[in-house]
Amino acid sequence: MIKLKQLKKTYPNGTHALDNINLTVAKGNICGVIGKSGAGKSTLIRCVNLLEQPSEGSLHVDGVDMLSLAKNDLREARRHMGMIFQHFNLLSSRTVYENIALPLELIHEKKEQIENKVSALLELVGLSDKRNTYPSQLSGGQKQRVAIARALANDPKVLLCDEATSALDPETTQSILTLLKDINKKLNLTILIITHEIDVVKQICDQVVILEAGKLIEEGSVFDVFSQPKSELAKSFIRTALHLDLAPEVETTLHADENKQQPPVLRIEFIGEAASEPIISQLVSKYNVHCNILQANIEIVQEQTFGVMVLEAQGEPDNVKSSIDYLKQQDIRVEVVRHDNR
Amino acid sequence: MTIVNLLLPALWQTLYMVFIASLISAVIGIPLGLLLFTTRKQGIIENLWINRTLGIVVNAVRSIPFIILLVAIIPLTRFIIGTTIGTAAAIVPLTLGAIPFIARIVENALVEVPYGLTEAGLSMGAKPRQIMWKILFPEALPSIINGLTVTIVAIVSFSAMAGAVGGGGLGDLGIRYGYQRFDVGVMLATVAVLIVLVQIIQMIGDYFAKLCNKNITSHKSKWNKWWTLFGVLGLCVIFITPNIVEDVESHTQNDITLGCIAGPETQLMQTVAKVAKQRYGLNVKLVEFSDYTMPNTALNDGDIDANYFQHIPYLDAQIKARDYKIAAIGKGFIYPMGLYSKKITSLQQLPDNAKIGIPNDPSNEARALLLLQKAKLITLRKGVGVNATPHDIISNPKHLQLIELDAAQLPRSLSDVEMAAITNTYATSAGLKLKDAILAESTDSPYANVLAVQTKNKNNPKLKELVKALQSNASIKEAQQLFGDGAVAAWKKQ
Repeated sequence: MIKLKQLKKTYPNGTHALDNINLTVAKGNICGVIGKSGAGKSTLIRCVNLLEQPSEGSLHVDGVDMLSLAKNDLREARRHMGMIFQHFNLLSSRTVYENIALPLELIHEKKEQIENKVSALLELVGLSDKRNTYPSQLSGGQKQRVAIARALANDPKVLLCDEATSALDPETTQSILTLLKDINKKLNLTILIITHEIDVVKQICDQVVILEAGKLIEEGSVFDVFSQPKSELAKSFIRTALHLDLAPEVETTLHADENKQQPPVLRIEFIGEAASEPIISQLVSKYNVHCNILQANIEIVQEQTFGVMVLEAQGEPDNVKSSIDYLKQQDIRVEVVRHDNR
Repeated sequence: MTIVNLLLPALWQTLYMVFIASLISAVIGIPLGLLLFTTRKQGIIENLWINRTLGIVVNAVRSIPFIILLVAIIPLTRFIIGTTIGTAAAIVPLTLGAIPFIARIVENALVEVPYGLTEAGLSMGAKPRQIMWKILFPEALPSIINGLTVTIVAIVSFSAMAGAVGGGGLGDLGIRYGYQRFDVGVMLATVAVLIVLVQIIQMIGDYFAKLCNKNITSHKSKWNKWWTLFGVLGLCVIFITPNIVEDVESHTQNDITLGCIAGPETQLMQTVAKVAKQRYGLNVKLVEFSDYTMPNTALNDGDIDANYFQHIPYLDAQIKARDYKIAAIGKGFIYPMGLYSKKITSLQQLPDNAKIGIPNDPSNEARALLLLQKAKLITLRKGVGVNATPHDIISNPKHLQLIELDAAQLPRSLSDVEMAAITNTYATSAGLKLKDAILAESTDSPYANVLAVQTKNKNNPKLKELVKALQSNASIKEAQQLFGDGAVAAWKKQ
């Protein structure tokens, strides 16, 4: 649906905002573009609907070569791409209803048709009761819902989201993401999301792109990238997303009384099917190793389980060793974070 | 004439001028402001060439002093209104002066609209025109309305200068009666009405700005666009109808429009008009001017039939300079100029470096210089005569400092200068008597005011009757009442 080839954007002052970006987003997919601020994310999404003109490369949306379009055709093409923004960009002078009706007014749609369409959209985003309120009386989440409804007014094939949840609190973010996922499914809408929050990617994206300094440094399905991040940046994002780091309290416990004889501490990571095995009970019954769980976390990404557990393995040193081997055989990553010093 | 009789028509004229000028300048200025904003660098229809050209034009018009603009655009005014004098004619310069002002105000209001809204518009495929009128304009409307309110108040104060083209209005009334005739009552009343008017304009402006500012919570009454439209249309009808009626009834055969200078001379001409009506059945309509250039321009262009405000030397100089086809057909009064002082009683007491107030209009300035030469205080270049300016002074042994002031301002300046040359028109109203002057023009001076008409109408019998009315006993009586010993009937001495 969206296809970028060797896309470059260089500003007159010589900075390369985008450098050789190749990206394909399939129809109905949600693709998250993540990067730190200044990585070129906003430029990338603005190049897709040509709010910014790329310097080089090719850009196709729904099979249309966007860069060859005349002004009028470009406007027409943009009508099939909705866009929502970090700061909502609603017109303060218009009511909720009038804001959503704006894209339809622009194409001189008939009154009754506007009425029908807007009512349906209000229903979809759950704001039917706010139809005659002005944006200044809405909460951030409600404003973004209005913006989403407005972006959907022209039945777009693509929805571009520019940091759509960055100005919202976690709970509201959650509800907006659920809504986006919902319309993605209902309308088979292709969504491109720009964000700096890995949680957004974790929760709703099928595909993830990592940008750093204008370059695409990693790309793939969310499951692949989450289970096997390659770049340092990807690893750091994923550690955050999956809470893989040791909690500070656990860290302190590990380093306390280092001279004292203590059992080893293991950090185990399990992904997908491995997570469904009853491993802890296996350790007890097979190796007589008792586990004292210091930290545990399970995340579900793309319907796959990502788990991490930090445990103190109490048992005979030899038994502990064999149990580690057993775990490794089960496709579970094991790291000894405190060695057996007994 | 009671104050109310003066105030009501003036209030009407001000409302009429300000309303129409505001309306038209908003209609033109708002799109211009949008264009200024959107053609900027990075604007939605970036076009630096248009942007800079417009910017220069807007700045140029804004930098022209209003009174100069008023005179400079006379041909345009004639083209649009058909005449260059009267209230309607004053609307053209007022409008032209306000348009660039509004354009800049609108441009500045648009800068405040977050760029994200333009971006949102672009992303939904809006055309530049749609972004301007559906997004930028409504979003900036509250601050545009605030700016318009400021402009309208500015137009009210600019309209005071409409007196220069006989436009009337409250400001002009205040100047003519309060300032030039030293009538404090009228001046205060005028100012009071102006203050109330400006307060009301501000209140209405604030109300509308608040009404369309949806960022403020609690707006129970939704602004009904139709009511506003009806209101504006209604006001248009109210303002325009009487003007049309006025135009239709104008000019039957016995009508004469007579231009005169605001101040006591107008009162004198009212008497003349009365005599002309009684004796000859003439309907003399007076058009008051507050500047000395416009009456001749208006006469030459046929906007008025006659004027009475100038002496022969001035008329001759004007004809020579501007190639007017006008001529004097009868003398009226001489108002001898005098040198007055509150500080000294004879010329001998005049110290070195003394400040001398003189009128700043060309003809009376020359007159004052000639009077100072007569007093042997200065010497002028030979032969400059009635065209003398301070640059023609070739000797000034006492190093007198000449302070050029508005003629009506001179009596007020007596506490600040050693001596002032004051024409009798203003001396009398300020309570000065010719006999108190340290030195006065002799009554044989060439400065008799004359009735001037277009050269082709020189022998028009109606206009000759007007001369007779001017030279009637009734007018001498009125002149004595107005000017005391300061007005001499010039025709009697021939």
